[in-house]
Amino acid sequence: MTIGAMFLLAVTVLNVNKNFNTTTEILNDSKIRILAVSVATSMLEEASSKSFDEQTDTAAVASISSLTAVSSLGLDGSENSSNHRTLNDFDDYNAYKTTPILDSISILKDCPKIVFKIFCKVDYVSSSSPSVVSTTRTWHKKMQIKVTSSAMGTDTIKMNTIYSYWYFR
Amino acid sequence: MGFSSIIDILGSMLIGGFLLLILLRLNDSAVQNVYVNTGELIVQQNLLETIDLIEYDFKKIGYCKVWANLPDPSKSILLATKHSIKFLTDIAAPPTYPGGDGVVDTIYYYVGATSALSGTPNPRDMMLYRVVNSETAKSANLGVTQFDIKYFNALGDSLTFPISVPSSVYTMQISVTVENTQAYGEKYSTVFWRQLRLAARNLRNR
Repeated sequence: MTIGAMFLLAVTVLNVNKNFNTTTEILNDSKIRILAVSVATSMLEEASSKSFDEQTDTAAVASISSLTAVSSLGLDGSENSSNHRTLNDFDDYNAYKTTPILDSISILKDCPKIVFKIFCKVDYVSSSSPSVVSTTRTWHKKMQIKVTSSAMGTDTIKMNTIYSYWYFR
Repeated sequence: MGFSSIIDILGSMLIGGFLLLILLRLNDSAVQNVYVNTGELIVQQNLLETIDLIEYDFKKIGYCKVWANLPDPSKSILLATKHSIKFLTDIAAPPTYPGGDGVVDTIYYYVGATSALSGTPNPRDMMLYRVVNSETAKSANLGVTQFDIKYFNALGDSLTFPISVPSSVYTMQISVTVENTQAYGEKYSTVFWRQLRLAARNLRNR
């Protein structure tokens, strides 16, 4: 009977510890995801601070046919994906990959630095159905960002933004 | 009472003592976990609330419902230091003015000294103040331990302090860290947010 009672107590203690660990793990995961969201929004903001299109970088465009062709979305000319400062327009971030070392900070006391991986995709979308990729040029471009990290397991943070062209006449 | 009975009693007391120790340790762990986890949750909520407000305000730098009242948005930043920023905007006042009332407002963000919160056990926390126009500074101790802003010009180059021409600011990097104001065993939880490039749309209008 005593052995049975000891066994029950041991099981209870184990379960309580397991619950503690689960809660701590969930809170730490949430902390890492907050940082991942900040990394994603940083990338969205960085891309949004650039020109709408290669052709609108220094001059205004009035015709949709002057914009970059759908098949040419991505890096142009001397732009280099390893140096994001050379990217001058929104669609340069199409198929852009980066591993932000700057954000790899140690936020967990017993955890090494966290490295995030970012993948961006830019497509034209229409104003009537912004969730569907347009096969023709439009005045709206949509960026999809995926942020992953080994610290987040198989989970991926996905964020979207739409950048529209406008200028003062 | 025989010898075996005494052995039985002593054995029971020993086992009972062990059980009591286990229960006390378990209780201590439970209390610690409740404190730590609740603190962690509060810290994360505080950070998100802080970021939510900062992002909303900062994105509207240079915005005014009546554009003629703020014709040159590039001159919206009045003061730019490492731990403070003052800028022009048009604050929304829903439901009457969801997009602002068309009158230019001033928002001033700055952090107070850590010594001002010497009453809290955390030695690093400080007040993050938000002052609208000439109103009294408003703040709540959310456990902010870092509020750093780095400024960049249109070419992406970092601007050095002191920034004598705030209109040269094009994008900024905001780093915010929030910690518990008090913690179990002084083990403070930390949450960090870094907005690498916050580009207010109106700052690009130059």
